[in-house]
Amino acid sequence: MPHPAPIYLDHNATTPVAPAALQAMLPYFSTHFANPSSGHSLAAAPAAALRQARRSVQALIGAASEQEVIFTSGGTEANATALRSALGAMPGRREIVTSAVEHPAILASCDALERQEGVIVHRIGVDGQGLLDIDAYRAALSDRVALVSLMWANNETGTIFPVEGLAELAHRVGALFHTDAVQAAGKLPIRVQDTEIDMLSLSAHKFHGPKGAGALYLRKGTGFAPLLQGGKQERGRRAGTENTPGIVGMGAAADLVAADLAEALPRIAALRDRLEAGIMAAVSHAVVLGNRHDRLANTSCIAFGYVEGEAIQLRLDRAGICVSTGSACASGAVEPSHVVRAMRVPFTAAHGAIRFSLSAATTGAEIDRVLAVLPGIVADLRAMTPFWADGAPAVAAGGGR
Amino acid sequence: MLDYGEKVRDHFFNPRNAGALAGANAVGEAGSLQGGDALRLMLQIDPASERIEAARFLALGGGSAIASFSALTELVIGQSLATAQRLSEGDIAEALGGLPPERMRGPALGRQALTAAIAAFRGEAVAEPPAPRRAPPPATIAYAARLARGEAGPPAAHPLLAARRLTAPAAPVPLAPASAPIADAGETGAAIARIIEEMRPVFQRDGGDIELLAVDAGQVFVHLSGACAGCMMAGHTLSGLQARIIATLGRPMRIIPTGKA
Repeated sequence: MPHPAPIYLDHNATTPVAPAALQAMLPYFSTHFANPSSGHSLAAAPAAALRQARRSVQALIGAASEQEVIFTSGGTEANATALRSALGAMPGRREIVTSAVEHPAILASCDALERQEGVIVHRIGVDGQGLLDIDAYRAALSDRVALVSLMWANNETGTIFPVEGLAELAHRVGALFHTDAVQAAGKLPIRVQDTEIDMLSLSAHKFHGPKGAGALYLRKGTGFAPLLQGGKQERGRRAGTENTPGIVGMGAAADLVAADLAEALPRIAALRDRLEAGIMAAVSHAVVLGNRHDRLANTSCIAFGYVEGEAIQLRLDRAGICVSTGSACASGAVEPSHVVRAMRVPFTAAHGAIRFSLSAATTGAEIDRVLAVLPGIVADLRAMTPFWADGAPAVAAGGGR
Repeated sequence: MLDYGEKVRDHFFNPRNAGALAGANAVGEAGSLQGGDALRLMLQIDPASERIEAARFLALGGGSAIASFSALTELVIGQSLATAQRLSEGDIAEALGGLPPERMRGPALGRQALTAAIAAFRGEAVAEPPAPRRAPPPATIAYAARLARGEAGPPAAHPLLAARRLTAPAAPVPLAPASAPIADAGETGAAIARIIEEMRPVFQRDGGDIELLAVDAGQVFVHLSGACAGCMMAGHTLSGLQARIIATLGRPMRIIPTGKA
């Protein structure tokens, strides 16, 4: 019996490179291999390709100028650059405001700055829907804050922060504002020039570009201190010979996703909603995590009570369905992720979070397949637990529907 | 991610001896719903020969946990209690072709439940297992953030600890003066009483009951009766109660099950 192709619902982890983006990249490994900074004629093609890719990324995020795009090795480097640069560019300010649900690329960097350099970090909490505690945010803002860094959309739940408004609040105290838009780019219409956002991080592989390529948007006139010193690439803002094939692939992917966005988003959202409604109808003691309205169209994170996430993931995997759990392996024990913990998910379900993340390539047949197998998997696993064997728990105790 | 070997996968996808054991005469439990893995090991032991004739399990857990429990039942069936007693966590992992160090919690829980089951059969008091590894307040960013905002309290009581407290012989629990049943009067006491009333049917459905005795300085003293005393469900229902109280009051409260004054 031929094995059906796997159903990939883990697009917030990474996406396959779009075939056209891959084709665009290939000549820059071979024919156009030259260093774009070289003075000879072979450098002309790669240098022109970099300019073209810069304009494509500029268009994807609605930046005013292509010079505001700095290519990096990915989202993590862009985030690290933003944090370090703001502290360097804002002498006398030694505080950072961020949230408890940021990507580890921000949180671990903040931890290190706090530990090694005595920077004061305010980590603003979220409510049960993953929405930022605005009062705590306002309270943390002062003229000691160099940078606010808040993600545009959460990678686990898809919950969207109102970054435009948050940026305005940051500017009232003279702080810079950075947003990690790694999950937002290509999944939301973005026009950064109409906002007060100073810096924005991107990663190509989240929108069908290659891994190892990303960008930091830096608003014109914003103070900057480079993370990497060396050559004069990226106008002295990011040293190191450019990853020409990767950057070309990022540009091509940006063009594709931008052209497709308006048409794709409603379609993806409809499939996601169908998946979610189907699961909630068929499985008891399940909670949708995050805010149902301010949420990425492609993401659904559901916590299943009285069952463990990895067990669901393994069974789905055997059925040819790839998803993520809301857990992280920390110091020898599998714990609910920092996002799940920050949202105070009922402990009966905190270990059972599963993230489904779709793309424009996801089909209705794939969603139907998930709906056909998932309820049985959860029921099987629950039947094996002592809690279920003692009689299905009351909804009141489980914080279910 | 899927760094499991063939034997682990086989035991996870085809667990041996999963389900309740009607004729069990020795039951041991370990872990908790809160911790993300829990095991009830049921043994049927021939009293004359002290041989384990049947073993089954009910469990919540991930791949390595379920596989470990499955392997454990195969290892102990047909063994004498003396032999089973000597079984180590390493033996369980060995039966699965080895487990990475970060996946050794399954064998540890299995070993713990086996000890408890054998002790239950012999009518011995269960030795206090080592303090649960995941109980201390996580030094997490989220926790630190709550701490910074003055919202952090002690983590919700570990269900098994709560359950043990129920069965512990009359521990000297500081009781609020009987004359002031709700010392922390006013809205707090009323709110807690209301929540307990609301959740009472949950306890009653399990064949037990709960009664509010006193509220004092961040502590809620309750009396549990009937089937609630000591069962695994009571532990996690109590934690649910605590979570609701904390969510309602917006500050930490400990729930202390105790005997009646």
